[in-house]
Amino acid sequence: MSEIQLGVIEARYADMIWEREPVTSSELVKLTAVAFNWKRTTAHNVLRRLIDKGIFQNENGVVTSKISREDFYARQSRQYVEDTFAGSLPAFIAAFTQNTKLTAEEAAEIREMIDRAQTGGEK
Amino acid sequence: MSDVFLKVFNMSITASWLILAVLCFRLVFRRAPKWLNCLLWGVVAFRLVCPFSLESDFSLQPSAQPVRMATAADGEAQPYIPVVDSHLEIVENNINPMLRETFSYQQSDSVAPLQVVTFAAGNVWLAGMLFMAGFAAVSMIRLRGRLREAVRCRKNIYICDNVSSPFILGVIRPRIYLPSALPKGEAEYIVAHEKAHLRRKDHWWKPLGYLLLCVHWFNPLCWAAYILLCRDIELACDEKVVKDMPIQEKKAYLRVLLSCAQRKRMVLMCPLAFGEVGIKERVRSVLRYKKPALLLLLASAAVCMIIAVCFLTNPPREYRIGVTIPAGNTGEICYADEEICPKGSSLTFYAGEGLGDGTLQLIPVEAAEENAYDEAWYITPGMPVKIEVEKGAWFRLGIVTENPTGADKEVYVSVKNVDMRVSSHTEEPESGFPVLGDISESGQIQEKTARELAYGKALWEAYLTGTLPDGSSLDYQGEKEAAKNSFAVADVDKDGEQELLLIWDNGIMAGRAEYVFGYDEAQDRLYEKLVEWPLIRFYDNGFAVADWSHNQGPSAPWDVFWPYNVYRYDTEKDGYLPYATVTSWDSSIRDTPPDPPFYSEGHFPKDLDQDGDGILYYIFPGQWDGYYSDDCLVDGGELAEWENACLGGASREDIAVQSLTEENIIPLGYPKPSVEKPQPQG
Repeated sequence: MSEIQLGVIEARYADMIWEREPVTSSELVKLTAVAFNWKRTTAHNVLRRLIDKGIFQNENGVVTSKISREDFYARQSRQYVEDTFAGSLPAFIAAFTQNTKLTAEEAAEIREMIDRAQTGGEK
Repeated sequence: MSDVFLKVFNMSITASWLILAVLCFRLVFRRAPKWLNCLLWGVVAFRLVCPFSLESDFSLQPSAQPVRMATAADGEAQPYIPVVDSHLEIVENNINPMLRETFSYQQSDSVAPLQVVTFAAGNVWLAGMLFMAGFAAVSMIRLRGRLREAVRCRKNIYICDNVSSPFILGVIRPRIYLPSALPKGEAEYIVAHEKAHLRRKDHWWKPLGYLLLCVHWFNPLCWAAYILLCRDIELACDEKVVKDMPIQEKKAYLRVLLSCAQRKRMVLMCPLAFGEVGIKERVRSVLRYKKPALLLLLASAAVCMIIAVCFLTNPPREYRIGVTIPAGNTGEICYADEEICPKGSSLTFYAGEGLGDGTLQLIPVEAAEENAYDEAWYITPGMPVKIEVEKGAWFRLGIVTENPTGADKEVYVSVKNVDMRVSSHTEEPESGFPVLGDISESGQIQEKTARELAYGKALWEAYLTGTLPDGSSLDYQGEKEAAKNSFAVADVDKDGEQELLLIWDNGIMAGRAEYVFGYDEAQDRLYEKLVEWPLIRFYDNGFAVADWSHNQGPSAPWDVFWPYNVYRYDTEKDGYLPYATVTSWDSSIRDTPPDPPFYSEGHFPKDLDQDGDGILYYIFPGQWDGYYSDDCLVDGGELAEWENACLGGASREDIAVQSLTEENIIPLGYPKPSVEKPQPQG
């Protein structure tokens, strides 16, 4: 099984399910409404994503885990998704934004610039 | 839509000058605090938004309205020829002829070509605007969809799995959104940065900038301005954050910036983030940030002010007033269709296109102050005329200039600081006075020229008070007797302009005279061209002959010969100069020479009298000094020859002489003045 990545909030949602499973999806809606101030649809959307990732399953409104919490974290390096929505921007916007991305050399150069700077500021 | 587009287009062009000025400022004052740059973009935004602006003499804008939308003030269908009024010679000389050729209105076309173009352009503009706005809306909706999963962290700070960079969203209740995956130490600096944005109200300025870009999307300079605005906002924000930080903390802040930039873009305040400043520039800017020296601060603030004043204001709107000079016009006054109302107490007129030189006159239409404004002002290119006027009064503008060509010609005068309206034509040029005009063939009332009015005035004075234009008195016996005199308005000396002939021949012998007056446009006064005994015979070659009042000296009887003076019109002096005086010596009246000089011994020189009729003639050239010099003696045949040399081929002018009556003076257009002295009744 390939590595499954979860965002911080997704992970909190997943924790919520693991703690209470089996749990009905309507109960999850109530829980997230209190904890995250989410709407019903949002709770369902995120849940579907977690199910799509293969961690949980929904059988007739009852959510149960396919992978236990311990198994999941044993396998994951608990690395959060940083750019889950990359690629969702229209291509022509991406064209504009791409040139602002840093290459490794540029980053190194700038880092050196910061490190070099002394208390008197850069000359 | 095309009207709105033209308006926006004009605003865009005028704002472009301001943008260019701001770009120059940024180049020169690289070290100026960045918030000053932001302030300047604010000025640009104001210029882009505000369709109106103050007029100022300091304005460096080449023109308030680079592309004029309509030529007709009254909205009539007029030949629609666009004019680029840039006040830049290169533009006017190259673009305008091109526009004229391309877009000039053809009778056969149902709509003017430019209207088609502006219509199309207007729609393209609208489409572009909708696209830009639609794109922003779609991006916003997508972003909001993702943000539904955001979870509040504290106060107005939210975290979200679905975003990669921190940003602010919302105008009224802005929220700071952070990616959920921020490493521990970074959040603090990022929040500091975002809070600085909030304090600077950048969450208002950036969307406003985008909104303006939506409207002015066709202007590349506006794109440049927007991109630079986004950069300047970030730089100014960094400046605000690190202002009071020690260097170590600055370095930490910069490392956060860098790590953010490595992941993804740092700040996404607007759905569009491609104004995003390069991380390198931000790092450099923060590292070299010092509290700006007071002097630099003051200098850049001063320049900022100057830019604002120079480019935020429009130049005082210059009105170009056109006057049609009919073909062959020599001295008639021609009026503009527009009336002007000074906003100040003086007006300066500049001779414009077509006007070589001429005189300018202001004729009050609505004026509170009693002021004649009857002076005519010489105007020529390079020699503007400044006239003291009554503020708020309405004037018509009259031009007197020559048009020797065979076609009507349009001449222009420019004036600033006025309101303008189209003359209603029902109001008469002279304030309050009814002016009678001739009805021309076209049925329009023809305006009386200043010349005619001046002649009318002189005639009224002669008729009502017996005074001449120079103030001297005529032999005056009341209106009834005065009416027995006569006058004529005709171009007797053929100088191309009409003269006034006042023939005062009803009085006592010594008071009888015929006056020829010319009219001086520049000073609006009459001047004498000739005064002689009536009736003067005018010839169309410029000669004028006036008989002596008395047949005196040795001259032949009245039925044989009557002495006369000959005058010749001098164009340069604009008057009649004495050409010769002719009299006779009849040997039957006296055999000794006439006196002076006293030739007591002399006799009638029979040898000169070739035809033997006993009469010789004196032709004294020029102004006769009263001496009967025998050098001037000629015989009858020679006199005839001489006369033929002067007047041969010329014909005597037939001058329509009218009685000096009220009915005849009124048509000249000058209102009958009220006279203070008691009128003799009957």
